[in-house]
Amino acid sequence: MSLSKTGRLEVALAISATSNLVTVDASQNPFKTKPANLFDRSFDNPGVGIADEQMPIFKGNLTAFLPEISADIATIPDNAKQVIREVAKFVKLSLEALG
Amino acid sequence: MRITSRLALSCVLLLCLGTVVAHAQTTASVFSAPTTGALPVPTPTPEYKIAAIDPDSRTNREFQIRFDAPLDARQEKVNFVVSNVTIVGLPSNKPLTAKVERVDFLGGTHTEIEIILDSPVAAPNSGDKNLKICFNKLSFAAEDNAGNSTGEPHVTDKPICGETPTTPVDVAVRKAKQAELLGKTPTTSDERNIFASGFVSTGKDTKPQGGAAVNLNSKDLGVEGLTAFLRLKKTTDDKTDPKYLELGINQRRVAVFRRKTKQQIKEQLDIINDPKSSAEARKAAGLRINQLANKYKNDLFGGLIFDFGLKLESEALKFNVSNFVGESMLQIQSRTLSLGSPNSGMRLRLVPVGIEVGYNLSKPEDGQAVSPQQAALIKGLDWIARYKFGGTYTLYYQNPTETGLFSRIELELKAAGRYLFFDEATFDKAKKLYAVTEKGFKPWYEANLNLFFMSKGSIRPGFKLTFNRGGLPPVFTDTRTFQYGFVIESTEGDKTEKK
Repeated sequence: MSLSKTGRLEVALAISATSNLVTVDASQNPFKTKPANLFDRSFDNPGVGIADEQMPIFKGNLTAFLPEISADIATIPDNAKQVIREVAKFVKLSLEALG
Repeated sequence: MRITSRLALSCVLLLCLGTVVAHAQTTASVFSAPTTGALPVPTPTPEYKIAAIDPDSRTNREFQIRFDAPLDARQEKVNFVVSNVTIVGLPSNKPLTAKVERVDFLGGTHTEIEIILDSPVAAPNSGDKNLKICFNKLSFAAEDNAGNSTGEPHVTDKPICGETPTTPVDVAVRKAKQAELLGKTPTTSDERNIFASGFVSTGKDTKPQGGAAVNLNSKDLGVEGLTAFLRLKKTTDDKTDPKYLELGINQRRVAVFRRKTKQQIKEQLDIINDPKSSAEARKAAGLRINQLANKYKNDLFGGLIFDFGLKLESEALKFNVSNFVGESMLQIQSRTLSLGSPNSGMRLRLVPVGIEVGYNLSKPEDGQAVSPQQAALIKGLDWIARYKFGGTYTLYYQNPTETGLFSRIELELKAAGRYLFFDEATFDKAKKLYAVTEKGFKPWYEANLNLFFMSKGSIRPGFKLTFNRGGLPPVFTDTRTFQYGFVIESTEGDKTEKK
């Protein structure tokens, strides 16, 4: 468990709220996902199943979990080809920038 | 204008085909090594690397480390032993005073781990600019389709090291760099769908012709939710040409469903993220999140999307009829639902209501109308008011293995209906002249079948079949086309690197 808020679990939950192909077990430390390598995949990977037109829904879900960085989340491109880990890294840096 | 349009389409077609041919040549060279009579070559031990080290400037005692291949999740006793990690300052090569307290995976991956120190980083020597983080031994493994470690573990026989500045680079700089990286991600399947089809045919009395469908969306324009777009559907034969071009700007707003449940999840996340929370409290919060997330597990719809836009709609590559239109549309977007296997899914988007209101900017000349009467009527067409509705349904199946001809199959069905409250100009494809279409219902149906071939390269070639029927603004030409052609997509993010 990280000492500082990373937003990583929030990213996984926002994906799970957008696609029922993805599940998250938040009770484990570190949290577990199905598929197990979720963060190495792109949003439009068939095992994740999120298309461009669903990216606004993903961002809406992420904003519900991380309202403090809503302006930064809005700047994430609606591009389902993005690798999830890179979006998670941007979210972490946004939280880090808040201090 | 006709020659120009043909030239433009030919360029798009050649660009696409050129890329596919280039890929085919690369593939051929990869597989052209002689095989007959060759002795089997022993597989060398892969060279694993640290791909990135990200310090956390808030505590200055956490590092997220990413490897270029997945670690073996079955070998935690090899990978996550504290004594397996050494950190020294450079150039002094003196060990860090702070000790490694914990090493573990980050959630949802086997390529990234975190290292937590027992105290903040302090340079071992005043002249040390960098930290060198080394792992004496690590166990890597391939992953199956579900992302689980599988097969023989690869245990490294020499340390794997990476360097990071002693003082983390300013977070604002790192954030800007990461935002830039996100913006440079190769375009999506839809945007990349500069579908330079090989040919177009009605299936009846039309010879094969060139055609293109382009759908481009800009990056963020600097205002939250504001983007620019260009959409084109065009063929070189008037009988099969939808003559569709739209360019404009769009402002988008989103409202997700189950807000109350998500607020409850956020409250539990706050417990997990609170450094003062005990392990038991975090565990209980995690269990509660699992329960809450189960509430929307089988929901069909995920949220509402509101679009407000201004656009210029015109005949593709001609401007005989052009309209300036303001549009507003409500969409209900589904979640992705499984079709019984993790390799297949479906999505649905409904547009129950959309309004298009605008003004005609250009009309055909008198000599371009089918009759003087029609020319007079066309002159009187000024205002545009339409109600629109429709939906998109997508099904896909991904081949879970790396064998077979096809990697992925997608079927996309689209339908859009427009009700015209005023008469508008139309193009009579038989006479190749303009007339007036009466107000009323104007449908558009589209079916796309995408077949992507198996590929180990960075791009995946595919084949696309499209059927279009109906009419699109601004001239609602009655269209019935059957198109086929090549498409390509990037395979980035499809899977983790395999060694």
